[in-house]
Amino acid sequence: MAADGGEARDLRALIRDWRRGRATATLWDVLSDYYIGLFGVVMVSAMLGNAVLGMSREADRACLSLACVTARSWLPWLVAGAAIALVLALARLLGPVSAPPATVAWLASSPVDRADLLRPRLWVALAAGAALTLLTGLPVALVAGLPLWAVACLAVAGALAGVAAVAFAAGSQQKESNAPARAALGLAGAVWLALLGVAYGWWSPLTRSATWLAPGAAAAATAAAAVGVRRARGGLGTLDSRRLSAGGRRSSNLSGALAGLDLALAYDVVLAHRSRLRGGVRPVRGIGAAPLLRRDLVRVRRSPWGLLLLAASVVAPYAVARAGGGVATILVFVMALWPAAASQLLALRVLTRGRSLINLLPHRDWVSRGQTILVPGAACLAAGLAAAPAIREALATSWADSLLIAAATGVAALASAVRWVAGRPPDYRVPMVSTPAGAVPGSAVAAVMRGFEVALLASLPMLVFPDGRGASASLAISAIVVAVHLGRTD
Amino acid sequence: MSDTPLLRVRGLTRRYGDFTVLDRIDLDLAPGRAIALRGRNGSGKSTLLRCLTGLDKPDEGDVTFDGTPYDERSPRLRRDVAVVLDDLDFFPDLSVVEHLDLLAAAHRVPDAETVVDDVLREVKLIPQSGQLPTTLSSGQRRRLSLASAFVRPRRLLVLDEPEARLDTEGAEWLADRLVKEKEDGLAILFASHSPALIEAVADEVVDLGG
Repeated sequence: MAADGGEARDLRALIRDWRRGRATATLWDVLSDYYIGLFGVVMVSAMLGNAVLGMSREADRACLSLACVTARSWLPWLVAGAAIALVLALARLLGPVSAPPATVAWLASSPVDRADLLRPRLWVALAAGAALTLLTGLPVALVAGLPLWAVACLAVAGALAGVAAVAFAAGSQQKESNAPARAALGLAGAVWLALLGVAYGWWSPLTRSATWLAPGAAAAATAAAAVGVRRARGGLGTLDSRRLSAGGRRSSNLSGALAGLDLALAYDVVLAHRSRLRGGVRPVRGIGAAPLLRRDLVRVRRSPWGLLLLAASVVAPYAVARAGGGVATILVFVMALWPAAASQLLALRVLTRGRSLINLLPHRDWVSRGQTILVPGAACLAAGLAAAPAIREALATSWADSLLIAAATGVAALASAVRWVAGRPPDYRVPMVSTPAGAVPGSAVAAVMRGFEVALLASLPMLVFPDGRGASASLAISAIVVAVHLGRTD
Repeated sequence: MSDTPLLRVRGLTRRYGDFTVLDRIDLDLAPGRAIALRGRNGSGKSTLLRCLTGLDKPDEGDVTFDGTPYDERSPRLRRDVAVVLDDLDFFPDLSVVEHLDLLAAAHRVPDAETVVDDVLREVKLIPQSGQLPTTLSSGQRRRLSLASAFVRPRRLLVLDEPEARLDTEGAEWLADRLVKEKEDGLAILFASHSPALIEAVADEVVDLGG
């Protein structure tokens, strides 16, 4: 790209100058205003660090069985793999190199050298990838009981692997290749297989982490990051406005949803992106009675990934039970299952996020909504029951109780997912709550916890009474949650 | 044509704070008749339609449909009233034709596929029938919204600026279609900025000024 116009750096400086000219507070003023928030962040970070070190010491003391030692030694590698897969998926979703619509319209359309214009955005994306993998992997590496030098090697490896993943996605963005999505899927599959191996005792403890694996991973990640960044930088000038603005629009929509603490709205942005990518489908006609239910069956046949995700999450209770998780197996299973269940409740989401579609249907609202949870509900119940042997092993209880608890965990996951997709969005008209980060609307705090709170509430009876009584109470709670959300009036 | 009103509105008032958008509106709409709402941007046309169809709550006034209070939660009412406003949502994973099939099946339309195919042909969306709605242009999405009203049973049509984003040919088709709907005994209430559409379809014009 020839740069016949002004230098990108000069233009950025010009914009910065204008913005600074209009600023009404200095950086120091802002920091002074938010010092309580900053102290809050430092305090919470210190508490989290302390909790992680405490967990590490507790694991040193209590994690003595072969299964537990094996699971602990594999943990940092599994989490690192999952974090890199997440970075790849997010990088593909957001670009990773993207620009806001205004930048595309006013700057990318000018004869400024595009590579110069986009380079700072690439650095930001690379830094975000590094931060995400580092913040996810570091606490887990500390809990794994490795010597500090090995933890440091893993931290470097994790951060640079995040950089390499973003750089790889940026290189693929220039070629419009689907490789990052395939890589993320492959990596997630490998992590799942490794977890399966932990659950079934296929692996022995990974003692080599503290000898050559951690430094080897750091060296490999350094090489991958160097090659990836060089390739990504080289192709920046070839990115066209269409690819830049698509990511920019998605970033704006996602940050809008996240700033409003509405995670379900952020999920809608992701769904719309997937829908645009897919473009079209081969229509299935002749659906007859109970059309929403039948559409869900078509949906499953058309896109079975959600069901696979549900099936894959069943490995979690087996792994936890084998590692001696005891009653915590129930909580881990519900927490693993409900996000997968939420991915199956697409129709319910569309029917509850607005009234335009549900108003077209000639049924009571709860009848229309009820049809949309039958297929996901059956899938959750089946997934729950598939974990009955793990629950029996973890709780050392009878088959009858294990089956009841397993069914209740499946239904609890469904109820949590229903709560997440069909709960009301944050209401900013309610009174504000004072927090270390400033005043926050009470409903916004509740919105962040949406789904999780039902998962905890419905699991609680089974954690306290890990038998038929706890399962029955849990089923009752889940039924109430589902009924309230299906019958919700707007 | 019966002169007994299918839709009756009495004293409908909507205020935003101190600002009164709609002030004691009265309307009577009989089967086979069409009323057009006209007025500048912000004059309250869409607000009136939203209040009538239960999507907004009037501060005062009554709306009855076929002699009973208008309650958009009632399945009977949903069966009889087809509403096309500007905010129709779509399932991100269902194609154009599947949306219409779904609606026709939900309303138990006999020979639903033939009805849907005919309407798709009419709105010129046959080539797009396998596309997902997110990939349609705004004009095509508008045609899909309008098609949603024609693949299902209806006694009253409520349309908010139905001509918006349609090309000239589409606007002409819409006028012809609404005249035919009226001849078939439907009541139509629509807001519009198009003098041609109002002239072709409306029996009565309510000017909301603004």
